[in-house]
Order: sequence, then structure tokens, then C-alpha cells
Amino acid sequence: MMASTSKKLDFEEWKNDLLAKTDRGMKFGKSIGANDLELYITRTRSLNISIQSGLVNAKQGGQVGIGCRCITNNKIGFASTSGMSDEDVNFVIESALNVSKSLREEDKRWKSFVSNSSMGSDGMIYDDVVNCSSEDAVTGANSIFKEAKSFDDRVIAANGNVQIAYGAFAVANTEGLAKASRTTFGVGMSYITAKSGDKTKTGFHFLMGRGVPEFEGIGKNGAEKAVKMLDSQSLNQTGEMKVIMDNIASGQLISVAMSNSVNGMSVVEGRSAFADKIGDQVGISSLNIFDDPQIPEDPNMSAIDDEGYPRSTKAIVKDGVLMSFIFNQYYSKIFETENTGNATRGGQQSYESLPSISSSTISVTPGNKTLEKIIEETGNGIIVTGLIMGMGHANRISGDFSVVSPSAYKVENGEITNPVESITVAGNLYKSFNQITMMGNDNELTFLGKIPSMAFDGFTVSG
Amino acid sequence: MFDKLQSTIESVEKIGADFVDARYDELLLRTIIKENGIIRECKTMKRAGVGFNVFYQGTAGYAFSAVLSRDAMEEAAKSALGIAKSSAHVALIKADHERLEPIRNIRIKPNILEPAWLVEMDERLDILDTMESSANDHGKDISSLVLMYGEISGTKILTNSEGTEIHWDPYVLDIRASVTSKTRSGDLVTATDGAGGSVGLEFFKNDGKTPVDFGKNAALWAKEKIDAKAAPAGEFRALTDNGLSGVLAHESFGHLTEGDFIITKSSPIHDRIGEKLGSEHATIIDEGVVEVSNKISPYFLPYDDEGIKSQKVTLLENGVLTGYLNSRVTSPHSNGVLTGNARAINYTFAPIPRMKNTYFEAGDLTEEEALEQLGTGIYAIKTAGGQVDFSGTFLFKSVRGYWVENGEKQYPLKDVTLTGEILDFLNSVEGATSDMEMFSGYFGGCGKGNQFPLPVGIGGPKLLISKVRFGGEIDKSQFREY
Repeated sequence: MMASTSKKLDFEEWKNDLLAKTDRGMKFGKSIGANDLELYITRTRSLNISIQSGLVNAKQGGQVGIGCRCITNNKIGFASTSGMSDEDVNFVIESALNVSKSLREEDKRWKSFVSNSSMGSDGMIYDDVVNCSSEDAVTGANSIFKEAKSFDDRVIAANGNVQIAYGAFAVANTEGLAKASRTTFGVGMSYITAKSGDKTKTGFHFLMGRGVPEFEGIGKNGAEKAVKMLDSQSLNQTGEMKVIMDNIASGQLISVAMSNSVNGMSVVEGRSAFADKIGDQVGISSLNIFDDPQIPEDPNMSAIDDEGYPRSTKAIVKDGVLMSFIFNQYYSKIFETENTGNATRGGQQSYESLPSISSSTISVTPGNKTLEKIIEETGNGIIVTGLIMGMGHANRISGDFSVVSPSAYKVENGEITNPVESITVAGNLYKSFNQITMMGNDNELTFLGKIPSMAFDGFTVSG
Repeated sequence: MFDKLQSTIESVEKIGADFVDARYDELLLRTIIKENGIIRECKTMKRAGVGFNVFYQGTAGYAFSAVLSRDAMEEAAKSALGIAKSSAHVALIKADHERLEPIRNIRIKPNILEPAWLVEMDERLDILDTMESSANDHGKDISSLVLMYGEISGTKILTNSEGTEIHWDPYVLDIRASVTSKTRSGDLVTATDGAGGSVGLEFFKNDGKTPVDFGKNAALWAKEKIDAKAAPAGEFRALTDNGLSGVLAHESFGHLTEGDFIITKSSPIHDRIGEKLGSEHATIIDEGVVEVSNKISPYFLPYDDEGIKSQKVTLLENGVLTGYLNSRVTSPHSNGVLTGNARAINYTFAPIPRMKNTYFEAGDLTEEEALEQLGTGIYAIKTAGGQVDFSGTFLFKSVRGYWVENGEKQYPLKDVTLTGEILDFLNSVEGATSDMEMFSGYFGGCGKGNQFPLPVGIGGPKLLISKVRFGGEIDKSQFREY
């Protein structure tokens, strides 16, 4: 009890600790002549347990690191380091300053760091994440594994996975900005392989949020999906068909469709299909898509973006009309528009990345129908569930996609009949916004966003 | 640091740890990317930390720390022991550390003349500018020009409960030029040339490997693709170039021999040692330190991250499966051979079985003889990646190619897709050329379990293949993407 109370109190101090470090760093920078400077410091603790058919992979650790941008005559230098001691902070500032001085060409498009004093809201901090012990996580992963393994004899391999993390970051720059944010995160997952005769099928299931998820059901649901697919039959049909996508499948379609088309960098560099479409009708009139970093149950909810700009909910598509692109500071200045607070430092060591642009969390206003009702009203067609392969290879400029669904089912007379062998579904990401016929009420939060299941006309299916 | 690691090991052994692997990584990475005349990224990145893989009753727990104080290191090691203890009762596959003689006082650096980490920034920028002007001199309708420079240097300290002490210096230098030209119909075609490996700057003075060559080749190949024809679909005879042969050896075969996939029976060849899987011309090696004559030293890897000396492993010998790639954890459960393949991309990960430098053994054909034997078919060059699955199905996109008739190159091809089953492919190997070419990279590498991009050596000879499918569709589930 003592230990967990102190962990919680310790985490409450992280924001102030990081801000104290950026503050000292800004003063050091000034003392060595770094007059145009930005510091980003991040600190996380994570616990990952994976039990794969009895082979345990378990790790725990703390990542800390600093990224520093320094501008000299419009030349942008960057340096980073793991650690966050005073020497580490000084090292990155000196290195970034040296890099910026050693460059030859100016980047004439550079204007300034973020200058803004307001903030959005941070999400709730869940103490169960901060206090989660390795025993708790191992027990959770093992219960997922066991539940899956005992579901059916045909389950040949089961992976139960639990990831718990909490962290904070701070940003400060020579425009006077100094802000920090904290979050907690928990996810439980199962990956299942089932086999019968020559047929091998996989299934997965997960629950995520800002707290430690309820582990019961994760293994069973994943196993059920894999086992069901063992009865798959060949579709033996090619042509245009009504396609229903559950929220994981539609989540992949919508998030890939949004990844390039509304990204301010792609817009500026002439690689966006939506570049000249602001104010145009791009989808059906009930389509509302938001860039939404303020969803309370979302681990992504944050008061600021990775350059310190306030996070807020933005309508990207409203009543089917394209309203806005998303920007970080650099590209918003080039495009001469408002920053939208979408600066992101990606990767496993976020402090090693320059801020790029990406959506925070994409949310789509749900419809009022249950998935069952959508299936009933569709009558005849296909329902695609879970992960689809190849969406990442879609042509993000033209929008053409051709994906493989390993877990699709036939819909006949308003009911799901049998699972089908892998099918190919082809269409166009951007045309699909106008091909939506129904939207579900099941817009639960997943790692793809908060996107409901959808039904489409006009996709080509073959299998 | 070695002493700090050792005293941390002793402190967790006192409270119940059966065996401890400890590692200190300090890496310095440099990236410079110049795109259309603007420096898009110029970064210097330092990554330093310690990791402890602590075993308790045959179960491992891993913990790491970027804070390098004695207290922080001890806390990490204790938390690793804590995870191992809480996992011990659920683990069905256990490690069994046979005690080995410690390896002491090893200090190794790669054998290079002009290490990149010592030069001034100006010299690096000169390389990019030279590629840039060379590309502009030779290109046509260039719509985008990207120059890349990447460098990793640093040091690793490895120790364990046996008292092993190894210090060695990982190092990669990678230089590339990428040119995108616009066709008359507005389509974009891209070509890239470059080289990388554990090589000093002196390597880039060799014929065909200078920054001038990279800029020029990328520009000319992009120009050639402006008028390239689409590859025909169907099964053809093929010649795969050194790079593509290497990726096939690595992605579609090498992964299937990794110890963790063997002991969890996820690999389709987990129980097939001694069986003939390929033609007599197919011999595949995985090795830690390779010297490819006069060309490039791909990835220099003298010891793995468990402190085991990296071995030359023959995975496939004249078509017969002869080896697996092991860590100390997998070896007792697979074929019992310690190969030095336990690797971690940085201190935040525990070592797992990974490849080192993986290649088909060279044959005795010249390129001309290989083309002559090919007769009519496709000469497929390089790859931008692809997908493979655990059943051995592969799909690769080759980025250049030629249609060949009667041993003569006829015309250039656009990107071509090769698909098939790896075991069919191994059976279709008719011969290999004598020229070896290998590389490793900073921009890209091997990915497994979130550890990407790990530097690995890739390449080999050119391979003559009796039959491979071009331009097919994939219909398999469970693909891993690269």
C-alpha cells in the first residue's frame, strides 16, 4: 500500500519535474547563444507481458529522452538523447546549435515556434495503471491465454498480451511557451490460431482505454473468431456487391482515407486528392468526421500537441462537406492558415522525431442502427470483419484500394450465413464517402479511432 | 560501466536470480535528408541505456533503464527479477542455461580506415551535394530528388552471471540517392542507388560506389523507367539480381529458421532438419563477420547480445536443411546449437533470435552465362519490400527489371511483382553467379516484434530460377509486412 501511494504521488510530480528541466534548459540555451530554441522532454513507464503458447515475453522499463530544435538563420538543427540529466539537456542544446550552424542552405519557409498560452483538456489519470504490478499483468495475460486455449480443441496457438503504460511530456520554447501533459494507457489483446485439417485461421480481440481493461472475454472472443472461420467456404463470385464493414474494418478504411488527403504537408506539397476541395461535398450528407483529441476515454486525449499547441476537436467533414485540413506549426505558416494542433512526434522514441503531422483520434458521428439491423436491411452481400490486409498499400493519391479480407462472411436474406475464404475487396477510398448507405450505432473507441460499422455500395468483391 | 553491471548482477543473484544477462548500449545516430534542395532533416541522436534479462526457474523477465545511476540500474534488475518470478508459474517453455566458460577482455572495432563519425558535417553535406548535382546532370523530367545519409556508431558492453566481458563497436554507414521522374501520362517512376554497410568513407571511392555514381545511376534508371513496359503476368524463367536474391534468402527463408519460431512450432520447417528442401544449387549461410572481396563488408557482428561469438551457420546445404538460428533460450529446445543469433535493436528490448548476414552461396556463372542460360524470361532487380507469411508464401515487388530473349536484354520493365512458395523457389534454383554483393542499411532493416529497423547483412550472388510467378495476386492470411 505504501509503495503504490508513493508511485501515484511520484507520477503527480512528473509534469512539474519535466517543466523544471525545460526551464533550466532554456536558461542554459540562452547562455550559449541559442536564441531560437525548443525543448521536448518525455518520460514513460511501461509494462508489456505476452504469453505465446507458453513462451513468456515480459518486460518493464522507463524511457526518458529529450529532443531539441535549434534555429540559426532559418537553418534547422535537431539533436536528441535518451536520459534527462542536466548534462543530457546541455548536450542536446549544444549539439542542435552546432548542427544548425553547420548547415549551408536556409529553409526560407521556416517562420517560428509555437507561441500560444492556452491549453485543451488532459484526460483522466487512472491510478490502477500507475499501480499495476507485474503479477497483475502476468495474471491478466495468462487468463487471456487460458481462456482462448480452453475455448475449443482446434485452437493450436494462443497469445495473450497485456500492455500498461503511463507517461508525461513537456514542451518549452524561446517564444515563452512552457506546457506539459500526462496520460495513462492500458490494453489487453488476444491473437489466436485455430486449425482443422489443412485449414489454418486466425482471430484477434482487444480492449483498450486509459485504465486497466477487464481481461475476461478477450481470449474467448478472439478464439471464437478464429474457430468460426474454419467453416469458411469459397465465395466463387466476382462482381459488385453490397459490403458491410464492422467498426475495425471501416476504421481501417476511414483512417487510411484521412491519412494523406487532409494532411497539411500533403496539401502543401501537392500530393492530396482533397487539395482544392475545401467547401466541396465529398461525402453523403450524414457523414461527419472529426479530428478529436478530446474524447475522455481515449489514451490519446491530451491538452497540447507535440509542439505545445492546444488540442481541440475539429470538424474535418461536416454534413458531407470538407471543412478543414490538419496542420502543425511549420506547414500552417506555409499555407497561411491556423495551426490545428496536429504536430506529432512518432515512433518508439518520440523524442528522436521532428514534429510531423497526423490525425489525433478520428471520430465519425454514429448512425442509429445496430449492426444486426444493418445486416438485416442489406439483405444480400458480404460482411468484412476485423483486420484487413493491404489497406496500407492503397494508393493514397488516387484513392484506389484492393484489400484482402481473411475474415468475411456471406450475408443472405438479411442474415449472416457462412464464413468465406479470403476475398479481395476493391474500391476507392475517396469515392467510398459517397457510397455509404448506412452507419451503425457501434462507434466504440479502438486503436483506429471512434468509428462505427458502415455499409457501402459499389465495391468490387472477388473470391 | 562493466563494474556497475557486474555489481548489479551480483545484487539480484543474492535475492534469487538464477542467471542474468546485462548489456549497455550507447549508440550515436546521424540522419541527413535533403529533398528538392531543402534539408528536411539533420539530426544527431544519442541512445544510451542498460538492459537486464534476469532468469528465475527458467523464466526470463526483462527490464531497462535510460538512467544510468547505480540505484536506477539496481531497480531495473530487481523489477526484471520480479517479472520473472511472477511469470515462472505460467511459463510452459523454460530456458535452461548450460554454464559456459566466460569470454573475457574482448575489445573489437570494425576494420575500417575512415570512420564516418570522425568527419566534420561539411564532408557529409558534400556527399549529398555531389549526388544532387550528379543526378541533376543525368536525369530527365525529375519531379523529386531525395538524398540520404545515415550513420550509426557507438559501443556495446556485454556481461552476464558467468563473468563474460565484451566491448564491441557497432557501426553502419548508408548513403542513397533517389530520383522520381514524371512520365508523359503524369505517372511517377522512382529509382534509387546507394550502398551501406560497416564501411568507412574510403569504400565510397570504389568504382561504381561513389556519390557521383549513385546520383547518376538513380537518375538514369528513373529516366529508363519513363518508357518501361509493364511486365507480362504468368510463370517465367528468371534471373534475380544480388539484392533481390538476398532479400529472398532473408525474408522468405531465413525467418523460418529462427529459433523462437522453431520451438513454438510456428515455422513450417520446425521438424525438417536433414530433409531436402531445395535444389543442389541452393546453399544458404548466416554469418556474423563476412568479408565480400573488394566489395562491401555488410554488417559487422562479432558477438550477439547474449555475448555469444557469432557463428557461420549453414542453414541449407545443397538443398538440405542443416541449421536453425538460436539464442541461449531457444537452443536447448531446437537443435542444440548455439549460433550467436540473439539480438536486440536497443536497450529497451530483450534479445531474440534474429539473422546476421544471410546469403545464398556464390556459384560459378558469370552474368553473361547466367543471361544465356536464362534464355527467355525476366531479369528482376532489387526490391522495395514485400510480404511473407509463416507458410512460406512470399510476395516481393522488384523495382527494376528487363525482359530477356535468347540471352539478350530486350527492354526495361516497370515494377514487377514476384510471388510463390519459398520451398518451390528453392527447388527452382538452377545456378548462381560468382559475383557477390552485400549491404546493410541505416534506412530500413529487419523488423520483428516491434524491433525495426535492425541492421542485417543482405545480398549474395545472382540466382538463375527455372520458374517463378510474376504479377500474381495474394490470397493468404497472416502476412507480416515489411
